[in-house]
Amino acid sequence: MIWLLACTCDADCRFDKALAALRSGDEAAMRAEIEAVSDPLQRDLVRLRVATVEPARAGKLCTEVTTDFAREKCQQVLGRPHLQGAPPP
Amino acid sequence: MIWLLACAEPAPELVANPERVTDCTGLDPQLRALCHVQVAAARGRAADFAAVTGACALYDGRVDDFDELWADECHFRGGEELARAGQLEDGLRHCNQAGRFRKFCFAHAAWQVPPTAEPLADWEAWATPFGEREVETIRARWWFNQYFGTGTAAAPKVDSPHARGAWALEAVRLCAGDLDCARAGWTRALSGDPLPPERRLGRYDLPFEVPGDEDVPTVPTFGGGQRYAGTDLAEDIDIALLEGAYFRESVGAGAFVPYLPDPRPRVRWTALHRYRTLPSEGAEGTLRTMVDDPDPVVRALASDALQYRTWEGKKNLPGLKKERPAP
Repeated sequence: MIWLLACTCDADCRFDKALAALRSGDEAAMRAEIEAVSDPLQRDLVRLRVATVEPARAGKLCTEVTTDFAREKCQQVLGRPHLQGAPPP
Repeated sequence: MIWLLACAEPAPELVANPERVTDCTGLDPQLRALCHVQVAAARGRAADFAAVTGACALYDGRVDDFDELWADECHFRGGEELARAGQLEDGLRHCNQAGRFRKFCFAHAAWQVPPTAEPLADWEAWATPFGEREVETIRARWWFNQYFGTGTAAAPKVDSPHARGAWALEAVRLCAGDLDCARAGWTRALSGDPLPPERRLGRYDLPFEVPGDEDVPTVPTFGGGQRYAGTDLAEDIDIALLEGAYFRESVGAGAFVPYLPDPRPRVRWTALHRYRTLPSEGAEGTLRTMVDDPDPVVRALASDALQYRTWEGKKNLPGLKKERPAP
């Protein structure tokens, strides 16, 4: 028996789709694309990448990361409120 | 049985605390942007102007919104860290390239300079091209370093609101928050124990525009804050002393109460600005008496305080439009 598990959409692809969904105003679709990434670090990196491209609209994704690496990197978005449109502390 | 896991991906080379641009190689554009900003900050902390420039150069082509945003942020982070390392001029050169974050960067950089006189020597010789408001911010910081924590508060010999503001911070400190004592220090120099540089900090608030005060002149204060300028010397001293009281964290709301009915609008506004953020018994009743005040600034501040109950110490509540005037 040969199982051919050929993924049709990798993390880069999920990132593209999540970003497109965000930009079309479909937050649920964005989250679905992110949740479809099985590896926790890769999933967090998709969250981080979306937040980096659209910090004002998606900075809150950084509150959902679960890995230490992403948490650390997310401080560069969450800890910098001017990136999200507010004055810095 | 053969499983072909065609979607298995090599893990990206992730460096938690990148120190050089080569640490960012191979990352996708978004993680690379964060990486370059981290490198700019790290090299700024090391007072390495050229390396900050190198870290931010990747984005200076500015081909799209993403590049622009992260170029601005890169220069902001590098600039403020250079300033923190004592390289204010270098820091401001990066702040000058920080685009949409330029004014924030200038305020951050000026107030992250070490709180002793040396890093600001000769600042007037190089700061002027950055612009008048930027010069004002640096001037405020320079005077702060001349006074606060030094253990001496003699009235400044020059007619400068920045100097008066800095004098007031130290006078209030040396008088342990007693404003009458501090005011007397204008004519009789005060002295006491100096503060170690690392403790030359205080409480401050972000400035925001209140309907009715848009055209009132302001003076930069600690940390990117603003205070009203007085219409004469005595008024300016009183405003500076109230700001000095707020700066001292042990001073409570009661210190501002005697000034809430002050006939001078800018003194009254200053007192109310500060009173409204500090916990106190009876604040709600006091503020309710002000919501119908003839003065629109008093009305706005009191209404906002009651709506968001900032004196109860709640954090992160929306309030009046909190928009910094250009530093």
